Amino acid sequence: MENEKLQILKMVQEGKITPEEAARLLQAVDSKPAVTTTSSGNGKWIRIRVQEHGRQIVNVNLPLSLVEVAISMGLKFVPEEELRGVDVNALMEAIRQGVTGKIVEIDADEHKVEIIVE
Amino acid sequence: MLCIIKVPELRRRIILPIPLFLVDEILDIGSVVFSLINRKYLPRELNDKQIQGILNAVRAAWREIRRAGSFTLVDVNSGGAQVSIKVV
Repeated sequence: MENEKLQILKMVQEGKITPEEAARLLQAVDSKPAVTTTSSGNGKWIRIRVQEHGRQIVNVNLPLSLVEVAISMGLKFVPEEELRGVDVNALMEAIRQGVTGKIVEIDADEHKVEIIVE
Repeated sequence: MLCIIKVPELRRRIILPIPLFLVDEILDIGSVVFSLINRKYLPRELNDKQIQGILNAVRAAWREIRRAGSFTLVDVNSGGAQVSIKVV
């Protein structure tokens, strides 16, 4: 964050931006929330696999800590009624406590979707 | 980070190396550009706070990807075409 502030001040010094624009930028830098990323994932991974006719076509690997950050941010934008009773926080807590293996499996005609915690 | 693209029409794979620091810089620039850009170029459905929140979320997500070390983020293989994104 200090580097960003120095860059902004340099830009003012070089005449690239006005002091008013610099003030807005500095305010934007200060308003960044302190996202605390903990290692609560404990090295776990979320693996999303999609199969078509029994053949794997999509494989996505996400560190659990990334999923936690994404969910915490996403919950701010998704209305509660959209979740339809799904307790996302409870799901994440269960995963942190040690739940592993396949947590979601969707089998529809030719496609199969699996979400696995490893 | 490596982006590996293979399409049936091409005999060779296309490998795009993307330096991780470059993504860091692009994300940092995004916040600066957002602060300077004229409001009319931004989606009207989102207010400034929401857009800033999205930018922060993307940066936080990228930080977590960096911390995870080397791994294959995405691997798509369909119809003879293959796209892989590997963080190395």
